[in-house]
Amino acid sequence: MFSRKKLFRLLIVIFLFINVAALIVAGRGGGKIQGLGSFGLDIFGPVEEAVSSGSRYISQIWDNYFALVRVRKENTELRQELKGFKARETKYFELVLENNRLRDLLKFSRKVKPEYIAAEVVGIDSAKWFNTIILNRGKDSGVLINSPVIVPEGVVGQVIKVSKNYSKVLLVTDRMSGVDCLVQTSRGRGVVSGTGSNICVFKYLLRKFDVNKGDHVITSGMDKIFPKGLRVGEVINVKRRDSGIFQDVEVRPFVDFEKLEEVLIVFNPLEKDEND
Amino acid sequence: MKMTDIITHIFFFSFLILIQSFFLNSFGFYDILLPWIFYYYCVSDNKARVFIVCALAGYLKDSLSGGVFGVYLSTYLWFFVLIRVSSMYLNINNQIFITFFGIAGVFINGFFIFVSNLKWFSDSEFSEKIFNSFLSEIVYCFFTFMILYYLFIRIREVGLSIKAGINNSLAQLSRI
Repeated sequence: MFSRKKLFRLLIVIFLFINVAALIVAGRGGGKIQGLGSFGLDIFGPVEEAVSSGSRYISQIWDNYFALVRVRKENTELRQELKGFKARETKYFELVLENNRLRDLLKFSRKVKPEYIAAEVVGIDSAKWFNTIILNRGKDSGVLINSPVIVPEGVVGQVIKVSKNYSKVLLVTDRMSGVDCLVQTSRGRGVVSGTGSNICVFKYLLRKFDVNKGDHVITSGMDKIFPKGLRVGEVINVKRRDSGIFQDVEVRPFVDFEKLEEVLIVFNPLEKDEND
Repeated sequence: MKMTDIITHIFFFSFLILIQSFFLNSFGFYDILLPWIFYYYCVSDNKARVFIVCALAGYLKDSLSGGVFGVYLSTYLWFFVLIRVSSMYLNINNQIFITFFGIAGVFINGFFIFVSNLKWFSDSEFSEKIFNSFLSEIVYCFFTFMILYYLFIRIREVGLSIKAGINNSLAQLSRI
């Protein structure tokens, strides 16, 4: 019925069709097929870790021995800054105590204190289309999928894949990322989504909320992944169109993703409660 | 001998993945494994071996990338199929066709990224950024694919001459 050549062409078309369909289905499901890439991550993770530590060591040599000229000046400035922060810390501590007393009075439950585990960034995405990093902590350290990853400056992202000793983190700047957030001042709620560049967009923020350049954006805790109140970024651009119910807001994350070296993985308190 | 060849190429593509991750991505460069696959296909006498190594490279790249699992596996295997089918009708080593294969590889990669992330393209602003990024890949590919192909061949030649030198030395030593 078919010549060999025709059969070959038909087979190619069928395989291509199956391949495309499988990728579309996987893409719609978020592409988080756990297990398939874990083995590769465990195999190649140590290599990336070695290269990453090597390059870090070289840059540290530069930082520690050659770039010391500005350190003295910076030290004086930082000492001055620290004095201010100490005063603020005392004030903050007082406010926490007061808050706890008032919560007790109102019979509010105390917030569950999240637990953290420190991890080192050992690799970055090998494809430029996606913004992910690889950490040297995995299942053995108790890391779970969807665990939030943060640094003192703000939110980094969430764990999307976990192998035995390594985990992959989707950065907030990735196009697939979305974090439920609040504008700290106006309390307007929306979703901070990545664009693939260093700037994120704040989607679904209603026009009725007054948002200005410089406003801080924090996590709302409504996505049940990120605890409430983590710093995300700063509003850098606001556009209110004549029509529509939302406004266009651009956010610059507080975290400098190019200089990430160590991060903290948060053990989701909600999951912990459920397990307990 | 066959196993040595496979292991050597696994090391080679792992090294290229590292270069891509740590250096090339910030320049918006295309996938450096595409010229490597083309080179490997051209120099290898066993095409089935090339297929296996391409599959391994795709698996590893998919494991390390944040995209949908299978994007790179599909890209490399279909790129291999393209070269294989084309080699039946064309002299693929012809300089005119080399760059063409590179651009075709970038298109295959772009196509699989597109189908696995259809969500991105619903937003016109994102589509524009992705289009610009894709365009930069094509430009890089146009100017560097052939250079990289010849560079890989040169590296292979140097490697083979070193190997031959070592074998000669060993043979002389054994005579003594």
